[in-house]
Amino acid sequence: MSNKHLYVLAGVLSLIGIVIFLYKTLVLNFPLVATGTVEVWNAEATITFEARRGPVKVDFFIPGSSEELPTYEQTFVTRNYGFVTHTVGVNRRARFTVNNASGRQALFFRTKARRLKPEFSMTKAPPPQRRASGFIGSELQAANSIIEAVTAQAADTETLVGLIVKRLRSAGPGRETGLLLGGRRTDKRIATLAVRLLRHAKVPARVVNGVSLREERRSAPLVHWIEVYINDGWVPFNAETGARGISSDRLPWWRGPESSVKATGASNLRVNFAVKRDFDLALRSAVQQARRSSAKLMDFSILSLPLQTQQVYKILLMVPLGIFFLVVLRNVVGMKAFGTFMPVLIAMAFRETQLMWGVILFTLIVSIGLMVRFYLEHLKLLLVPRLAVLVMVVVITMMILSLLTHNLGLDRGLSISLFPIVIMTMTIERMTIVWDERGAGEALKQAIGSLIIATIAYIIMSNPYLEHIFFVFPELLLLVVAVTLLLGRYKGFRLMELTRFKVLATRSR
Amino acid sequence: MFGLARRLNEAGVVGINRRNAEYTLGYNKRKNYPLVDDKIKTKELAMNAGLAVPELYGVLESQRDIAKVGEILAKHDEYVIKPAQGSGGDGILVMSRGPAGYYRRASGTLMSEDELGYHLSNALSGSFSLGGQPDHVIIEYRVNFDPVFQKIAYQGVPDVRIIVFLGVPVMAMVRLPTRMSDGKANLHQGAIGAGLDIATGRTLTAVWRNSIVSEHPDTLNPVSGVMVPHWEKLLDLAAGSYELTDLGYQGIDIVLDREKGPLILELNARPGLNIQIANNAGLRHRLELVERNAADLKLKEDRINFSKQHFAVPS
Repeated sequence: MSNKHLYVLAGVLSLIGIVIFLYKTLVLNFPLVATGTVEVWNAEATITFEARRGPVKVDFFIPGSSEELPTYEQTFVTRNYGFVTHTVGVNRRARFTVNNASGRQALFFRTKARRLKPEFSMTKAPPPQRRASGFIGSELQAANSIIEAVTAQAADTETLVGLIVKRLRSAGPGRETGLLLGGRRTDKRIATLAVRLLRHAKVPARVVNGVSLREERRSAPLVHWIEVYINDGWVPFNAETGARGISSDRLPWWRGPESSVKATGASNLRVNFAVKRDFDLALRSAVQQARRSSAKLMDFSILSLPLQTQQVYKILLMVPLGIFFLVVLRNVVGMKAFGTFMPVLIAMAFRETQLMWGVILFTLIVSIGLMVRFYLEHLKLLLVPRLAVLVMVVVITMMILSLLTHNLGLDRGLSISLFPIVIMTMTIERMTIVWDERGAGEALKQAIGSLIIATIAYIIMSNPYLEHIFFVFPELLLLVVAVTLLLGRYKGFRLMELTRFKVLATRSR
Repeated sequence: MFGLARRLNEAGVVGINRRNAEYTLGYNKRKNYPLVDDKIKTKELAMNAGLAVPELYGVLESQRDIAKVGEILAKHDEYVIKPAQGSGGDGILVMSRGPAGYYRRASGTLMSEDELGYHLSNALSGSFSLGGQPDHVIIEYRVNFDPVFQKIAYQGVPDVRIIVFLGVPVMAMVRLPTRMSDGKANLHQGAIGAGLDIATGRTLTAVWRNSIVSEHPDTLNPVSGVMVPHWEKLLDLAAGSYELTDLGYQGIDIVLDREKGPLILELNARPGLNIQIANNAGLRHRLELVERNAADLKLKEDRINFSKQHFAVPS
């Protein structure tokens, strides 16, 4: 039989495991440490208004998610208002409605956002429809002359945007730009005007409105920038400098010249944005984002199962690892133990009892079981009834030990009930046979071997770091499978054989 | 530690992992295992081929048959009782007639009829079989061993174990029971293993409990330099066992009876590795030599000659 097949299989399995693992750590940002935290931003919007006795309808833009700055855990606090979210053009909007309201009203919206990349990059999109710039009269003339002057200097769209923004920034009262801007030179006006001028020059553009995540603010002002359609995608430009690229410390809330909120049946409508820095469990944040971005993969993740089932898998996923070490201890070290996988099952029971108690209780049950088994030997029972009696004795012994330890105030002793009864019974039975046929020494050697393997398996299986790794990245099990497959063809000496065959090494020279 | 592993490797010592991965898994077909795992089948196979085996006195197939055992044993003075699928010598009783209601074990202790019945019941339930599945029990002729071993065996029956690879006897040892092994010839139960020169059947060094000894711990007689009688016949049986079972890598256990000569006791598809210590030599170089020449070793005579030529130990 050729080993090539095996190597290829092991290689493919490892490769699949590693690729999924790397994808999850590097792309989906699944954390390698359970307690890992990440910086996230809480952006909150409070909409206040006076209702005028009657039906109220409030439309409010809510932020979407992006690869660079994913948003997640969006929550609404709306009291008696019903709400739906839907997509309007490129924006998402929530509509809050109520049949009858009066007096001062407040609606809250909150989202979490986590910065994954320092800058927004181009977002691919099909070419947008042409839109009119809407200039008329003297404005039209002013716009024409600006575009004429700017296009003469601009080499490409990028420089065109820069030149327009610079011109608007340095507008004097007597010039065309001054005419267009009027008296109020807010950032929003400059950004909106730049977009109109670009459209006038037949370059699709739009305004982006958002909040800055640079510092915590109770009342955060809106920030504005421009997106220009260049080569199949929207490219962000800074509306203050005209430079290409926008740092992702701004959360884009909505796109377009409209205001963030509009309402019917309400007056004195106000929106306040607040920004707060926060820390989130890295795993939680990663899962939330992955749910939003690549739902397909998450559907097949343990993290999408009910919490209770997740807990079960947290333990179950450690079993293969325990078994892997059992294989190593048996086939590479050469330790002897009862039953093929018995030590791993005992190790699982140790999770509940903790190590010291586990070892003590295990020894107690096996010793008592052995004594009873030696006594049963005199009664000359048939195999199955004898084993049945032994199971019953093990159960009764466990119960008595629980009662005793409980009355002594040692509540750890109660966890004894989690020992695998049948496995313990088979261990006792097997141990008596070995005891009879090969002597007490061999029986004790195997029993101690079983306990040592169980202890090592327990230490590995209860390691919180490994538990986290295998729970979050179960694909790493494929690597464990691959290594175990290779161990299946390990032909070298077992560590214990080195002492066994030692004489041959010294004398056969 | 790695130095030790390297030196053992150079000496050609085969470990359990290599034996399993390369030889038993590589050369023994799973479907042939029952032929050697079930001693009843092995016996039938050998008898059909006209090879000598210890005479079968009776087979117990179910708990009900335990009642018949007294009747079977009454016809004979000495007998051996074995689980048909026992592993590692577990559950074997070497006995003779005792006072009324009792049997005498090889060690001299008495066993009551009740105790024997219980032992048989356990054996039939599978207490000693490999996977714990229900088993049969065989009762057979107790070998009267050749006086040549009188001085170096403590009770029980000494037997010769020969490792046969692709029909070539590659290594041999004689297993001598001790007081510790209770008359059984299994090394892990405390029997002595003495290596044999494959060309002549002369005992070489001996191993007892993983260490090399020069004399029998109970009789204190030297164990080396003893010639095993009927050696040619033994080699012939060993080389022929390949055709019998079609197992490429097996161990054959042969006992030497005072009157009946060599008898095949059992075959083993996973023979132990202590034979290397008994011979003070690794198996691997010999196995590889056979592997390389396998094409020329079709005939039994060629295989025996090959073995004598290559694996002889100069005296």
